[in-house]
Amino acid sequence: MSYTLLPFRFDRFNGDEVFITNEVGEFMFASRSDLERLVTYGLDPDSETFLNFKAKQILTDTAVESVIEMLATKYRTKKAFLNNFTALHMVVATLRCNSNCRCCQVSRKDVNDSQVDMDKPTAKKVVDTIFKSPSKAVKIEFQGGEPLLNFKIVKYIIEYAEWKNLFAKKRLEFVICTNLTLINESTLKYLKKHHVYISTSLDGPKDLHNRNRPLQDTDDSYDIVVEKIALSRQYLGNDGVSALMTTSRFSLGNLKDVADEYIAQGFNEIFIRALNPYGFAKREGSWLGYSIEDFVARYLEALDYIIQINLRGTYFVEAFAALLLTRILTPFSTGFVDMQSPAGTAISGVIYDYDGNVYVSDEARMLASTGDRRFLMGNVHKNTYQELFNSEFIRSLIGSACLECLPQCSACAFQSFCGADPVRNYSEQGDIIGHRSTSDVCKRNRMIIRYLLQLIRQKNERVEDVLWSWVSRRPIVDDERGVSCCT
Amino acid sequence: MNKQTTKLDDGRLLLSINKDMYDNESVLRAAHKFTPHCYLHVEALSPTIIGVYFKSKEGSQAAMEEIVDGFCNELIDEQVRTGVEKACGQIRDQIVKKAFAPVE
Repeated sequence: MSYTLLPFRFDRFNGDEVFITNEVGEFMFASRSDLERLVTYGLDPDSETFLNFKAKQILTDTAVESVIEMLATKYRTKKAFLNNFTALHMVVATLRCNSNCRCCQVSRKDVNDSQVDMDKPTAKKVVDTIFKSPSKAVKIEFQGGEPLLNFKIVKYIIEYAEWKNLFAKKRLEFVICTNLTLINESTLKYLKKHHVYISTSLDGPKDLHNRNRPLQDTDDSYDIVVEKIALSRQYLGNDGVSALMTTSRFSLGNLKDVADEYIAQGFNEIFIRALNPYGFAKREGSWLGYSIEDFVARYLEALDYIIQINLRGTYFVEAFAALLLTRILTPFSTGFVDMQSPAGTAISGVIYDYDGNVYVSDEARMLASTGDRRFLMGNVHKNTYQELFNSEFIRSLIGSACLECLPQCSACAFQSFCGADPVRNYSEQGDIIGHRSTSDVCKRNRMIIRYLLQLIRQKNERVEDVLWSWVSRRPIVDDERGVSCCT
Repeated sequence: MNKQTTKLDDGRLLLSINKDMYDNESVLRAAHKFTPHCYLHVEALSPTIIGVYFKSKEGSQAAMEEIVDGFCNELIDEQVRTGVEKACGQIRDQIVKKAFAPVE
């Protein structure tokens, strides 16, 4: 035996090919016969195949200890998102909302129901709890309902957090998730002064957006939202306003139109998201829903369309693909609370409800709004930071949310690119471990990752340039002219 | 139908697997992956043979035979994975342990 095998995972790819990843996600394609020679120690040490496997640290013919050291460093880099514990703190300022979205996942309340507003004592406790996090960076993200309906509490939280940060000296960021329909210049001046970013919802062109997201007093929310996006940019700049979309059955066949709309409204990124099974969206499933296979088929069509847009000179990113490509093509850490291992529940992101209840994720809060409080961590009025974040419940949850230990995930070649979601597993399949073969999330991730790998495998230079521009978050530059190819 | 597969009177297919070639773990992992496609039951038939029973959820006999063929291919892959785990599972443990050890 002239070499030692190092840990790797593999999966059949195309025809005779297999896709192989090492322990940190570095990958290669090989033939089945090469794989067979590899595992039976039949590789010729002078062959190119041998050198390829060695370069990807799938085998070594040197001392194992030094390779372990190197792989451990790479592993630590990949998991660097764990370094500082919980950085994303979502705060539900109110459950009241003036929208009437059919796909509402938070089970919003009536616009006049002030019983569901966060009050000042709760807000103070929330901020005190947030600042007990060891994370050097803290992002406070206001959610709802519509947080502008309780803007006085939003302001209180911002100012109290800023005061506490004079001593804590963390990297402090604020984001407000709003439908924008209630925003005015006075509010925007305040947001600008305190460096608050806006995240809004835009589901597509007028007819699509209005169909998905009517307001309570009018079906025509689109014109208002577009106007307010423009107004917000006057104060916060282009980068100060971002948008997210949710794919309903009506938008599923029109994702190219949605992409065009985002470009027309001056956004350079879109995150094509499937509908999640929570709140009103779960209730309205038959009206709104589609199969995951349908979603992926349409997603991939839209992805191809967006790549073509880039090839024609317009820089425009599909965010989910960009995240996956960063994991596939780079050694860097990408914390994405909905898809990481260990899962981001509580340890990367957490949500504080209007009443002080703390949940492991926004999806857990959505479940609770329908009566299921399985993922309640505690309450800021009753529990200390240690009781909330270092409980047996959290330890057990995270212990069950590491892909490295889950059935099928532990041996999956795509493990390094994927992530665990125990709340989603519970919501869809009845337990936090889940059953991968029948999991919609697993199907979706596997199909999309496989497609991206096929794009990479094709070695089309121009498409590769586009994909790398998404990873680097910079438009492609025309090397000859030294100018950006993209508008 | 390969010679290790038997059609039973109740319509199920029985795949007989030699324990000298395949670990229990490999058989169970492959069976777990195929649960969306059919109903499976795994049982030791003798000290050297594991039996995997396949029962159709829906579909034809030909479809079931194809499923069993697919299972056999998956079983080979799972056995390779088991072999790799035995060969270098400890190395993985060392990598992870080192990665999370305090940096001096």
